[in-house]
Amino acid sequence: MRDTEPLLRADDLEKHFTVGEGLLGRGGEPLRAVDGVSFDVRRGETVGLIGESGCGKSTVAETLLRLREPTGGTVTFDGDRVDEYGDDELRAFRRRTGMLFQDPVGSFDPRLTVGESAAEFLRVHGVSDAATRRAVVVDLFERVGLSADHYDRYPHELSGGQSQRAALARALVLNPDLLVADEPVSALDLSIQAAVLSLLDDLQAELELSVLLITHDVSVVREICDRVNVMYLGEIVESGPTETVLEDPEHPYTAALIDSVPTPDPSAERETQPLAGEVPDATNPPSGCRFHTRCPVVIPPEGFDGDPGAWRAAFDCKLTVADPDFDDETLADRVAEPTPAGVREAFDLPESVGEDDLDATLTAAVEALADGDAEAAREHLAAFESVCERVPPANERVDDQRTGDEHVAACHRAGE
Amino acid sequence: MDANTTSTGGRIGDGSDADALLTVEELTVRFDGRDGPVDAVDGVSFALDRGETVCLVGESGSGKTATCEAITGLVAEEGATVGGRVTFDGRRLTDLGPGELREVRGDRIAHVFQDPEGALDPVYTVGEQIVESIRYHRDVSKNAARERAIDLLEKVGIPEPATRIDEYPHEFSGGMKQRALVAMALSSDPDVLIADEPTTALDVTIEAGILDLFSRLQAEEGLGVLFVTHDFGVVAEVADRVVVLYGGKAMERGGVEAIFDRPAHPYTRALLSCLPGRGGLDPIGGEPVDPRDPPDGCRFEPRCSHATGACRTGGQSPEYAVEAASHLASCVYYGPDHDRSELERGDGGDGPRTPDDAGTKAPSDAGDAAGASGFEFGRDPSPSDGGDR
Repeated sequence: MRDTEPLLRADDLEKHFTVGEGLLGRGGEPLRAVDGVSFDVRRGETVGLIGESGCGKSTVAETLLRLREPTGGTVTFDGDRVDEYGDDELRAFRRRTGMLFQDPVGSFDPRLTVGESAAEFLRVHGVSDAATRRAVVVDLFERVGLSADHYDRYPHELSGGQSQRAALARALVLNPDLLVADEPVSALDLSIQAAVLSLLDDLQAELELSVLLITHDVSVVREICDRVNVMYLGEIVESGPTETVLEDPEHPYTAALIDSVPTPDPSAERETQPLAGEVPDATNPPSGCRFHTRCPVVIPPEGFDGDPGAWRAAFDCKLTVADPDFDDETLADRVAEPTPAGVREAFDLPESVGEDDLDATLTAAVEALADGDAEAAREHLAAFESVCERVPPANERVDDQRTGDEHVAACHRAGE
Repeated sequence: MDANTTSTGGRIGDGSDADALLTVEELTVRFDGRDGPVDAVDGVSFALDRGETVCLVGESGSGKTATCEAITGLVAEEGATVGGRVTFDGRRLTDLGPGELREVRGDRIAHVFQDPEGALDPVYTVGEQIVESIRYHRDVSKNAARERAIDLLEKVGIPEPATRIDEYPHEFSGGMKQRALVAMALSSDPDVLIADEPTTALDVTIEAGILDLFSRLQAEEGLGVLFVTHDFGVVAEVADRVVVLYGGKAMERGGVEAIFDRPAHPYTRALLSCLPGRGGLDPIGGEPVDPRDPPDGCRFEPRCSHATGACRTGGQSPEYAVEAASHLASCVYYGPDHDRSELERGDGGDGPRTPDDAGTKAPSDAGDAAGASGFEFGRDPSPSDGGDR
């Protein structure tokens, strides 16, 4: 490490899109694709950004590189503010950052050979001698495990693995300091994935590259990332050294993400139930902790001394009833038999949550639901409230005492 | 093309297959490509019984989709020639005409595909599509069909089915769409469900729920499930038995524990050792087999570190029993003329033939990195790299 300052740093980065204008008439509500994301990439380090589709991970990459203009926050590259770059500085910045995408074939111009495509980067950046361009590209092709012959092949003549190698060579042709790889192996077969990942790992070490790797795949992170940031609905919920985060996740979402990955071991059993529900709409993210609508360990109110599982069932019922789309009609559909017993069955509600006050409130809510009065039920169920729903969790340091590496989680339970 | 197929199918001490609900024997699928015929599937045999899940696992081009689409004649409608025998509940499907096959398909054998987005019609509600599917197969009233559609949606885990049945596909998330398609597949009370990569397009937390659904349906409904996937994690989770395909050939098949704990074929072993996240990435050298020009011998021979002379000619090796008769490997080392213990000694044989474009080794040549530094730059950058994300 030549410098203690990270090569790339994002502070409170934000990218909101305006959506829904026009026919659908939902104008005005921004889609909070990236909503206050901070992380850094140190020199010579591979950092992962992991999350599911729609969490904003690709938008982070595009915003960092100013392929899209951020709507808030700052990006610092090698000590300079990327968001303040003028045209010339931006051009220099582009030379120092390479990009690798998921679909290697689609990222090449079908009318150029892959060698010409890579050489084109050199040409537009001022290498005017064709022989030099060719020599540079051929040298890189050989480094990534292709041969000089591949220079003259067209994208469709290469297999998926070969195209991704060529794309990697092209990304490295300007000798960048930072490589941003967005799902670089997702489209590849298993045996080819392994080859491309180990190539990336080797090149990273050899060229002292900094790599930002964006992926949905926990095992890819485990394989090559030094540190990892976990994203959910536009926010980073946990970050830290890969091994610590994956072996000892602090955020319930990270734990669920890891546990959802099917393990290639037929005798292994899942530790937890699959996550309930769906990723909420990013135009209207849940209050408090954005994960609370799906979180298996929502915190009951302080002083609650009853059955946490029973409390959780009541909390789920409250979330269902609180949905703006939930009205008397959906209620009638949901509850086959409009009696208190029928309501309890339909919502999996227990007879008792273990505290008399709450039991009385729940009974009142159940009766209101049996009467078909969703509004009254909503008022009663408000008693089942949680800090997770009210207060956005702050980033808590939960460092492993032995290693002392920074491990941060945004969860009210963090550090318990 | 390969005329030397000598695979003997599953009859090496494997008598149980004959009584299975669905048996596939020596299945071949040939497409007429621009450069001559391509054998996408070349002599694959396996059996599937009620209440069990058989996984076809392989990389792209292994023939797994063509195999499962050949069973109900879907590939034939795409212009492929199907050979071999497929027997379902005592009926020889490979002898049926297109009309008769259509009656079986979607009725007693139902399909679920990878892309839930493309499989639902955006202009009809989910309910209308399920009702249509029910009434196509059963002579019931619209109201009865709707009742059944609601039951089916509930069965596949869609909350508030009586409400959601009237929603359009775009109002369903990807996971919910896939559940709706499973409901539609179940609408005819099938005996067999053929699911081709049904979770590949889904997020991992959603995938977990769909895999649970398949396990539950298989157990509760006694369905036979033929599950196609490229993901060994998924295989471990859902399979009772596994068929490992490569280049249109079954490399190995057996019970799920046998395949994972005691993989026999060098290809299966190599695949399992290059699963990311299990420690040392150990890539398989070379490129996947070119179906237009398969090797003369074993399909995996050019990439196999144990290949010997016997692997290079005479077509794919017959399937030999590994230990139990239900665990078969199409590899000469398990035959009478070879010593399988040689496979344990690291690189036996003559080593892999390294194709010119293999290149899985780390770049060896150190020196100045891209070689581009030190040039003078100055013109417009070309940041746009295209591609999707």
